[in-house]
Amino acid sequence: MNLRVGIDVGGTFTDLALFDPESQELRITKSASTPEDPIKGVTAVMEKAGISTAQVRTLIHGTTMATNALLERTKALPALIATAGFRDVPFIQRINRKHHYDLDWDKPTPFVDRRHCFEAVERLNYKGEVATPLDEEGARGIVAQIKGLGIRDIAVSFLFSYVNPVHELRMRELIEEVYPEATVSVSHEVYPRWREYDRTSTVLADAFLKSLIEEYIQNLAGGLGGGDGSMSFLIMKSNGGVQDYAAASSKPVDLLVSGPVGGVLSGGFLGSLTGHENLISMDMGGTSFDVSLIQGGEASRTMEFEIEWGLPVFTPMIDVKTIGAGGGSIGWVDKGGLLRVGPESAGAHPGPACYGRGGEAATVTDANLYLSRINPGYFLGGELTLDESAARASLDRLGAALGMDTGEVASAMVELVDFNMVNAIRLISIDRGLDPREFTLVSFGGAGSLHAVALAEIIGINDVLVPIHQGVFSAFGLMTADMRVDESVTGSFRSDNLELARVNDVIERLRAQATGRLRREGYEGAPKIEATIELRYLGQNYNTEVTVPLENGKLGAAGLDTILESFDAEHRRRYGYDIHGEVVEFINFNVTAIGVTDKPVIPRIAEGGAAKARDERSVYFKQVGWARASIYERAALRAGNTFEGPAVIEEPTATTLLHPGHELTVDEFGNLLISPLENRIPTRSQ
Amino acid sequence: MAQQSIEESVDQVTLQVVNNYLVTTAREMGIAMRNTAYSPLFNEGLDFSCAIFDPDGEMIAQAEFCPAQLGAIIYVVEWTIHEIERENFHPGDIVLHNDPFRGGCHLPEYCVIRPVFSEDELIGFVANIGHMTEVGGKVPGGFPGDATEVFQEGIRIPPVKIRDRGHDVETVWNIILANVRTPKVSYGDMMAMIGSLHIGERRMIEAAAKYGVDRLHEITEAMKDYSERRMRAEIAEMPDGVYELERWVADDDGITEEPAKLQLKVTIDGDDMIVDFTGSDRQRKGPVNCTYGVTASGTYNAVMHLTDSSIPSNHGCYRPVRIIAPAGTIVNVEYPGASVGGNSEIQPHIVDAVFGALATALPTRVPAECGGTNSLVSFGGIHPDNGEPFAGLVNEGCGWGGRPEKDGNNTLCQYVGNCACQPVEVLETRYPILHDFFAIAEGSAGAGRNRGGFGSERQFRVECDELRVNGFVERVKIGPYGLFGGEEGGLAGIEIARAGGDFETPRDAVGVPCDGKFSDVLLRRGDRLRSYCAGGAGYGSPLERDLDLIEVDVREGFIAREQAEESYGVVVTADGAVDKEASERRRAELAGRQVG
Repeated sequence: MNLRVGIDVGGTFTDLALFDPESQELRITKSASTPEDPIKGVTAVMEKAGISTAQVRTLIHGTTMATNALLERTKALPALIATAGFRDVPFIQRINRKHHYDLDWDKPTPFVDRRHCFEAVERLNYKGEVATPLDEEGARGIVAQIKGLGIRDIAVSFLFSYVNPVHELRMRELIEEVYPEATVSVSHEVYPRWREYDRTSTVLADAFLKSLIEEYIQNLAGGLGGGDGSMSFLIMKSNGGVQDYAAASSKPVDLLVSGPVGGVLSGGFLGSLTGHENLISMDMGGTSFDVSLIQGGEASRTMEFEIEWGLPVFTPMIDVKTIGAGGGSIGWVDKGGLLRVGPESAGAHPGPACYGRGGEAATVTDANLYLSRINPGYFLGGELTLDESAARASLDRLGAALGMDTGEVASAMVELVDFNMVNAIRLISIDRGLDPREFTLVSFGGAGSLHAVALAEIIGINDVLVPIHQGVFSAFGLMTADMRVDESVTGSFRSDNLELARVNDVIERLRAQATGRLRREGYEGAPKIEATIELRYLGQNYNTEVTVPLENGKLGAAGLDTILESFDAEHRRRYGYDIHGEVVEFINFNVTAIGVTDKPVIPRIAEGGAAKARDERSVYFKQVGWARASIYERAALRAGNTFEGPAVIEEPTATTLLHPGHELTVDEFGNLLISPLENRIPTRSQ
Repeated sequence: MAQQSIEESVDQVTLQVVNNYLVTTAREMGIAMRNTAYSPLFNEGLDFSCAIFDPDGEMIAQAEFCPAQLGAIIYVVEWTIHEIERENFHPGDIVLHNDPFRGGCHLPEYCVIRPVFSEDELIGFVANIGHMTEVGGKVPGGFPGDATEVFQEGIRIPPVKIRDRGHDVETVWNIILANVRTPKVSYGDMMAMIGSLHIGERRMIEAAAKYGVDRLHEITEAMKDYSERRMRAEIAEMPDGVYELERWVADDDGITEEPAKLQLKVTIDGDDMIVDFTGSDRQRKGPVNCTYGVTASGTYNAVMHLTDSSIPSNHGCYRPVRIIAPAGTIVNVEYPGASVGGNSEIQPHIVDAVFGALATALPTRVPAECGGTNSLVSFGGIHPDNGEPFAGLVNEGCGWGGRPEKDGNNTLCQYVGNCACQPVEVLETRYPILHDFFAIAEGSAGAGRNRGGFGSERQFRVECDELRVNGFVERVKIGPYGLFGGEEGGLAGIEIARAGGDFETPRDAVGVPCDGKFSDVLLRRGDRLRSYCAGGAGYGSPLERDLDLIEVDVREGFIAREQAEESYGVVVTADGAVDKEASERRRAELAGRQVG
């Protein structure tokens, strides 16, 4: 057998999706996660799917391990070796604060204790010249001290190492010499950019994760018997590419959004399959709402992740915005007497009031249940019967504080959580200068499709795509991943003194680095190469990224002018002006090597005539109030089925709400495409 | 269910949605500003603020920028509308304004204002106010600590159109750029400010298109009413009464060593508050005076810190508070008095003074005084590596005061700013200086049951032939006050060492009259400058501080064992453990001494 398998380990469920290229069969399975020993959950889900590692050619794993470890701080902190005079960089931070007027706010605690911050005598100036040579004897002494303390992970962050890494590299050699058992993260490798706090914060996160991820991956590989060479075991990175498991612990900050990225890839894959190039992908579960943007088939990317406000980690990643909005989000009354929803969630325990596990607070799921959008007898396919009277009581308690009746509270809660999600969508679209109305909304996760049409309506999005397997969509996405390495370096070229050959040298060096790493991560073919340069007007401190027009891997003679023109144009588009003719600095060079992998083939479903409703019930919709809605079973739908709202489409792990005035069409793969009957809003902005 | 009340619940939603939209817009303007500005004070220090106004000039939204500017910008916009007159605004206009005597806060604060039109109707204003590093005047980098009139502080710009119906007014640009030392950087910074307005304008027009001009106005009126209602509810909870306070608010004024005094009377009467500064010192010769806008800004800031921070910050918040600041005093400077430091270094003391006056009324909310200084050092010269003129302004984080329930934060911008520190790697790339250290000032926190936060300290060497340096540092002589038995926070200061020599105070080193406020001191290659920023004061008696917390402070190197014993009566052994018995004896001894 030659199976391609994706396994997504979440907090509640471990999801599996597999594709058999011989039989073209696509299968999904779900089983409970085992947080105390994730390997058990993985083997359990494989058993449930009826497969063994011997049948698997490629296994791709997405994990929230790195994020959870950083959020929960469940392991020992690393030690830091900094330039003499600068060990307090993680504590001083940037001296600004999250909110105004909040005396109660506390500065974030860094991932290091101050007594474990050591100072090596060394100094480079801004040009990378050695102002003070590294005191090697002193440095060895520091390492011996750290060894004596039994600290396993070491971060090194020296000033201006992004210009000249000589002292950081030597420091690593000294650590390996004195304390070979230690893990080492050096700042210029993890994040070779200026701003010492950003770089130090990133390298501390990397060091914090290093021994943990190393152990986790090795145990998992051992548990899967992945060491025998017959199966390729790959780990999903935040950048949406996969890498061989053995390489995953070399830079563990790369795994930060390894979990949610699978869903984004699924969205992109399905989008290209169905001819939707511009997508906003939304994943709404019990506690959180993850949203990302795909433009022209490419997921949008960022460099910055905040563990919490003020604790940044800089690493190339798919831009996933997460907010506390889900089925479990709790409704409450603020001091000014206004109703608010979330970010606090009832979680799985006690869960929404209607779970009947002792939850008292009214949640979004309780509101949806009261509004009859959820079928109490068909939650998780009937595994859990929802308690309608408990939901009602929770809503009434909240309503009493607001002077609202049950229905008013329920509908207001749904609207507020919708608007919170709309704001998150704005952050990844409008705030990046992109018009969300030009995108299709892809909705998945247990709660997503109850809200998706309403969100689309508020923002003015025309089409909503509810994909097949919306309950295990992330695991499905893992199977579609390519291999991908992003390499970057800070240069310092100026447009008034620029040589094409030097620019090409930098790009060539990065290309060699990226393809080399891709090979080490397990890719054997010829990779696809993409390059960008980040530029700014001389004097600015932030950059604008421009694509490099490569011809045979090189920049042609006219290429430099094209880059400068694109920069002016992009600056104008984003900020409303350019300073044409001003000296432009070429700051960061980025090269990406992509190893394209085989993709699963999605089977087509049978065609059918008119869809048959299974049932009918009264459901609340904002526009029309209570209305009789047809209830459809998703598994019974056939390609070409078309019907109008008000309707509810039920499947074991999710519910899709079709509003009045909207039409649903089932495509050849079983995806649901929802659009308004009349295009109310032009798809292009004026 | 009743249709009517569903509509009301929808209105709640609309109010929140529009409020979030406008706050996000202000934030987006700020990100554009940061991304495009030239000077490190803007793109790293974030010393600017963006806000949105209704057609009457009342603020309807702001994001988390610099509170001092946000407090004062309301007067800048009001004055601009008054002086230009509403009918003279056209689409594509941009007004520039920095005049402290026309509603401004101090001269380096440049404000650009753009009227926004939906078709032909004025629907509001978007504005960006930012601290320009170089503004002309007697020294590079602004902040002449010994200025005696506004003309020495830089070029004064009353509200003038710098862009008229979309076209640059070249004469205005020419005059301004001819009067600053770094025209290239100043031009880049002003373009960044103007660019941010473009984004704000676009978003406002989109909102008007979505809701309709009249409906949008109704919603923003409701937003202000909502904030006012919540602010009044908070004030109504404060105990009624008249609370008075007298306090030093300036160490000296850069000219003479005499400190300046503030007189304050806060009246809480139902849901109204009156803050009366009558009796404060006459305005001083040196630049420690505040404009009315600065005083009002500091007062609003204090009130907003003492109330729920989640109240949307807009004009409605200001309505319940009345401020009385007599002209010709340090809290309302008259033309042409010097005022460049009032905004940055005196305003934090106004916040602390309002806090102090209300400490007994609100003992569970008011913290001890914060370090209250930015320890500002500005400088300029010619960069030896590229021959270009440069100007810089370095700001520091101070320790905040101990709080009723916990310690103060370390190294934060004082209350009225929310500026970031500029990374050492950025400062050294832009300016010819090389740092020896940038660190937490150990031992600088005032002792207390809940101690203050720690300030920071830095030291750098000069790497060019001539560096012209100015200082504007408060808390050099008078430290932050402790509360309920907490001790004073540590002092701030500047010291100078000639190449190869020892550190001396500026008075000893170069003979200036005041150690914290001076201008145009010439440093040469190899000379060094050290500046340290004040720690916060303590809250409650240090003898009541939890022993474990002291053990952590000693272990982490924040305080020395000697300080643990002297200030807290806690004996820590050489291996870092607290000796409980010895500590009890020591504490009893110290308590006895206090009583005696």
